[in-house]
Amino acid sequence: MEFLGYFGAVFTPMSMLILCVGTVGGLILGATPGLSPTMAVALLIPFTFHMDPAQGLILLGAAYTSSVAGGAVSAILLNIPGAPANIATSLDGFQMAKKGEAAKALQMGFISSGVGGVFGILVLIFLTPVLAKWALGFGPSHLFWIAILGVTIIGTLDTRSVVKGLLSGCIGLWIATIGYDSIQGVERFIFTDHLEGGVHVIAALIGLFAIPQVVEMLEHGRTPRTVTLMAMEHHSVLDSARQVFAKGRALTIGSIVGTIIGLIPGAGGQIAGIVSYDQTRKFSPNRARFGSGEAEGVVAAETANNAMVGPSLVPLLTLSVPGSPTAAVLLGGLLIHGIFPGPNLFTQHAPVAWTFINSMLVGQILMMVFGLYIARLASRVTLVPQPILAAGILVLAVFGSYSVQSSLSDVFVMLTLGVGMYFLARFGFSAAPMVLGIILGPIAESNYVQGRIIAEAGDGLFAYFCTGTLNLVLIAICAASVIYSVVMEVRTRRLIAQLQKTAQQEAAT
Amino acid sequence: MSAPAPAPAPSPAPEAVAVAGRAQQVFPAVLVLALALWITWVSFDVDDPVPYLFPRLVAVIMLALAAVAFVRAVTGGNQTGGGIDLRTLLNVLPGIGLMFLLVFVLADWLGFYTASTAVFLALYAFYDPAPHGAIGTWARRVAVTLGFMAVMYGLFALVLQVQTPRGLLL
Amino acid sequence: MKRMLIGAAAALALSFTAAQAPAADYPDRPVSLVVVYSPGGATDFQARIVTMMAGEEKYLGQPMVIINKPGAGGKVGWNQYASGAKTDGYELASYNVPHFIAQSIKFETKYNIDNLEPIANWGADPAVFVVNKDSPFNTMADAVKWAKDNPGKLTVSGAGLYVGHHIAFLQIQKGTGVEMKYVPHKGGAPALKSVLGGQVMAGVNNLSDAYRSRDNLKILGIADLERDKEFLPDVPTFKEQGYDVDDSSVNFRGIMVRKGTPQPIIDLLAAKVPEMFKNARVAKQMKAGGSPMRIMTREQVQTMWKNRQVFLKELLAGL
Repeated sequence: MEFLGYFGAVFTPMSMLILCVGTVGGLILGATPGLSPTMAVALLIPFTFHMDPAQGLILLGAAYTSSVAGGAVSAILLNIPGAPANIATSLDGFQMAKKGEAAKALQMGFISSGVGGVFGILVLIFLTPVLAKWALGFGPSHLFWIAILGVTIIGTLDTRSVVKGLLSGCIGLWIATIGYDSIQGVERFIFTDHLEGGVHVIAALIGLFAIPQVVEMLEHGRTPRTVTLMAMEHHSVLDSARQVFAKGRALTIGSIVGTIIGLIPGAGGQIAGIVSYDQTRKFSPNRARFGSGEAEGVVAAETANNAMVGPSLVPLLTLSVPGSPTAAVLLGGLLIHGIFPGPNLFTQHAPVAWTFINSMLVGQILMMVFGLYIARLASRVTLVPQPILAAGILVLAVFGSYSVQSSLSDVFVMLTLGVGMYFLARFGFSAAPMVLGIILGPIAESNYVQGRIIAEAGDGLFAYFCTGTLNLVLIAICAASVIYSVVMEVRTRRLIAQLQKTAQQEAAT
Repeated sequence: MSAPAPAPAPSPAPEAVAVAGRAQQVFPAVLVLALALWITWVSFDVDDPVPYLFPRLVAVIMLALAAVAFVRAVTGGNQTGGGIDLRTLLNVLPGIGLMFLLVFVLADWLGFYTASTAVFLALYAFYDPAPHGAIGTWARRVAVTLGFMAVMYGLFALVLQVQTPRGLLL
Repeated sequence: MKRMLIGAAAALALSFTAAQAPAADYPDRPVSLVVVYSPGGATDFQARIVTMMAGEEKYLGQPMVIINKPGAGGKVGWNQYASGAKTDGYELASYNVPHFIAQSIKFETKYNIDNLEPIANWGADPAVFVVNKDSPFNTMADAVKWAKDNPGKLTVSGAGLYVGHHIAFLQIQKGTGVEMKYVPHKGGAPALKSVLGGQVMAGVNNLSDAYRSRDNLKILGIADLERDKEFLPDVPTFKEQGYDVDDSSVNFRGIMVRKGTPQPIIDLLAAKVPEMFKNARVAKQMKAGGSPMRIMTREQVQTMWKNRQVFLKELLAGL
């Protein structure tokens, strides 16, 4: 309960001001297509130079927390996930927005983000010492199986065509291999100099989601039709809250999955939303409605996204090991102020450390409040005439993909992939499995390669990858995931066949 | 893997109402198959196989899936996606042209802000249904463009201090 | 806005007059510094500290802006820099030795010590040999003895191939005469994580990173000519322990420009940048961040680059 003593430092006027600015700023940056949480935090670090350590960290923590949630805004309203973490949110969120439920989807998204976020920070506060060692125990073989678990989701993500969903995933896995291979430094598939650095996942994300959306807005040409929009219903916040808390299953699965994936260094948290979405769908009686605007899907994804934030800092704060790209950037922010994360953090710099963590707890709640307010404003985006929206998203996509690594090549790759995706999407291919492939490819490959080297020095490949409790548990989860998908596929097919039969019989009589 | 559905295919999802013709489905299937073949060929035609183990695995799986997709496209089974018609294509092509112009030519040459302003205005004006002749229309177009770009400049250049290529101007 | 406009105008003017008068009022706009690693990494973090005083009148009088171009262990950024950067003195880059020299020997890169000009060196981060706190090895001799009995079984993590850690590993292997197994990772932090998590038996890592995690590690040796008196005075060098490992793997960080930059600008930078590194605030921040400094002038760096080139050619010839 030591942390309670440091709440005073959060509630000083200056700290609260920074917290509010950071939260609102983070929400806006997160909601901007093309700016991911990692970039938001990286871009804010120079601001902390002139602050004292605690205030600087409050700013970074608030920006991290709220930019993750902010990514849901563009995912829901425009079908453009603000970060890889928000891909799962767009699956049902955008369908809800299309039905006129944009306000409801945003409200439910922010409330579930808040719930997941608070859960995650509480895990960080109370369980850090216990979990830190456990999290470090995940080695190459375990991460390999986690990536495979992600791959098993790829096929089931697209409900229209399993073959094309898997093909999209394979294209993603291949795209991930372009560039210098990360372990040996060998050039692969570099057919132009612009691909030398490989395809950055954020540039790909922007291209694959934003550009097809832009082109789609232009499909009707220069007609008044382009100005007509989706209807927008008002929705009461209280009702949204009631509906969120009625979805206990999604909240529970989201919190647990988000926490576990957030804890594991190297899994990156980018897949927390999608794994939680997939698991919730499998346990839900409404599974058939997932993908066509089921609110439970949004709740599952957003809860997991924000539940990941707190635990993702556990390895960083206790062992000085950044478990995710964002944590790595935060480490830089800590070091600049002369604060070394590690076992002594809570003894040597207790005021700073606890103020930081407490501010993230308060920040989760502020994020929810501001988010609900911004949701109302942001949903007006859908009222903007489509030509303006298209031009605006295009410019944002260009600036966003450039800022990732100050590279014009990334912008080229972004646009080329995006236009390609537009045409592929017209033929039933989808962007979500492709991005998932781009994320999972390097995790699967580099951990396999590392595991192979370690196994050669040890007990051999099979023993290394397929024995040990953790490996066996993960393999079992993978197998269960595949078997479940196949069984459900067969069942749905039978059901459809039966329905058609009865329909034909009715037509005949 | 489901068996190819007999033609005429039932439409399983509402969005598949405007199912593309068979020829249209074959075209992307051939492209993907060609891509899979090329990846397979490149990954097996190397001196040092170790860095290509993973690409090989992906290539083989992709080749198998592409073959299934190709057979289905030819037999007319499992048609997903709306395909594309000439009208839509003609409508989107100018927009896509402007995007490529911005990214591959103007951005580096004129600088990010100038190029984006020009392309924003062009894209907006091209697809804006308001009459081109009226002065009010153009005043609104220019105002919206400059307003949006001012926000972009404020966010990226002033707040986040992102250095974008300058080219000839900004 | 004003600054940008003036900058743009100046750039325009400069492109016309570059041939005649290069350094008259240099620098009259912000100078960019390309860092080829991600934000938050050790190089990026140190570069931000050592350049933070650049805006002061007695140094450059203009701020230095960090531009990150990460990818493939630095190859992407350096390739772009050596082939595409302007030579007007407004585009600088950071270097990491031995990384870029080793890469230029081992791969077909567009950069090598001949088309880049050093300005000054700010830091030196020696490689250290670390094991988990629970490891049975208490000294380097323990590890060597075990490796002798189990050739090729001792797994050692490090950040990628042909970087300082890998060079140190190769030297340690050569110096101790035992065979070990190098497990490349995607950077120093994941490599250290594997040691802390027990996935590998030992690791070669940066002194600064190992120093931060020293409570969970045992640091068995330092690959430098002398001990590090400031941070780890108790850790012996390899030489002291009787193994022939010198300072060739030490990760030197500094600033360079592309060849073709006018000599007056190089001279000006070479005079002012080391002074900037010596600033008391910079030193204080670097120490607070656990980063060892080693300020070297342009001439010293030129010699160091040449020596490393010769040494690395020999070491990597057999691979």
